[in-house]
Amino acid sequence: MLLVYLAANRDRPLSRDELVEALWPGELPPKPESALSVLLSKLRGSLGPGSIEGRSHLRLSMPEAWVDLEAAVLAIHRAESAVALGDWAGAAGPARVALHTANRGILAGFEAPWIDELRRRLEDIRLRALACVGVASLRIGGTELPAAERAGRTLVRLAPFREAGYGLLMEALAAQGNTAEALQAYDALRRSLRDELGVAPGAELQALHRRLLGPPPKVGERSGGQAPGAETRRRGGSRWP
Amino acid sequence: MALIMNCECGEVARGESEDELIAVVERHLAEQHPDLVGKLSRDDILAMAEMV
Repeated sequence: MLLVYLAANRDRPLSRDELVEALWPGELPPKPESALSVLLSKLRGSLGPGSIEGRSHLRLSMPEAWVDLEAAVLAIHRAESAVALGDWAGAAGPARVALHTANRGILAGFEAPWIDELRRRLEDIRLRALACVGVASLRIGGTELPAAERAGRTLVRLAPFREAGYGLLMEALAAQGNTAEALQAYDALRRSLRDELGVAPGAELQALHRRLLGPPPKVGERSGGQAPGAETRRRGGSRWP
Repeated sequence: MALIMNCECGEVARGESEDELIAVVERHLAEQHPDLVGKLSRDDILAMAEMV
């Protein structure tokens, strides 16, 4: 826990009081200052001389060390920037790096408020990375459409009210020729939103749904003249995420 | 100590060194994800790797 706390906050010096509070968020040990010194001594011994700077205020001094949270933040920033520019090839790698890193989790089995906060940040990155993997895979197309579908399904499972996940899933399914299941996904969201919140899906998702259903019959055209889903292979201009 | 990389598709690539892992991953991409070839850098692959 001490190493993770130092690593997660290596951009600033940390007081001993802060470290004690982080390490023992519930009941303090009998001599918390001594207990902290013992842990710091062991950690210094493991990491090597100069790895932890300072006495009253301490800071991890390992600039070359890999820190998952930092790597995930950098990667998701690169991925989202590439997605915003429509650079799907440029988004593919960083989005996967962010997803892999966020998926690793943090300090399994340990509990503390600051660990919960780190987990929330990683979970947010995970969802954003899934959205980037999904949209990049969707736009790259071909052999990556199943990856877009998996990302959409995972997003829907993890964030059932995040419409971007449904949009991704619907587009990925339709792009693979599975329009019926795409419509089914929309219907599941529509029912869920109606039952839980009393609202309808957003305008962009409704537009995607209409595109998948095909164009409305023209005035004077006989009802049923258009085969259901006849236009469903067409790519729309929607943006997911 | 070996390195592994869990591909998003479920495949696990394994190498005894960084270079070997890169080669295994690139072969997997060429065979299973041809549309991703050239889109994952060496740094990307190593960032996704874990020591086992």
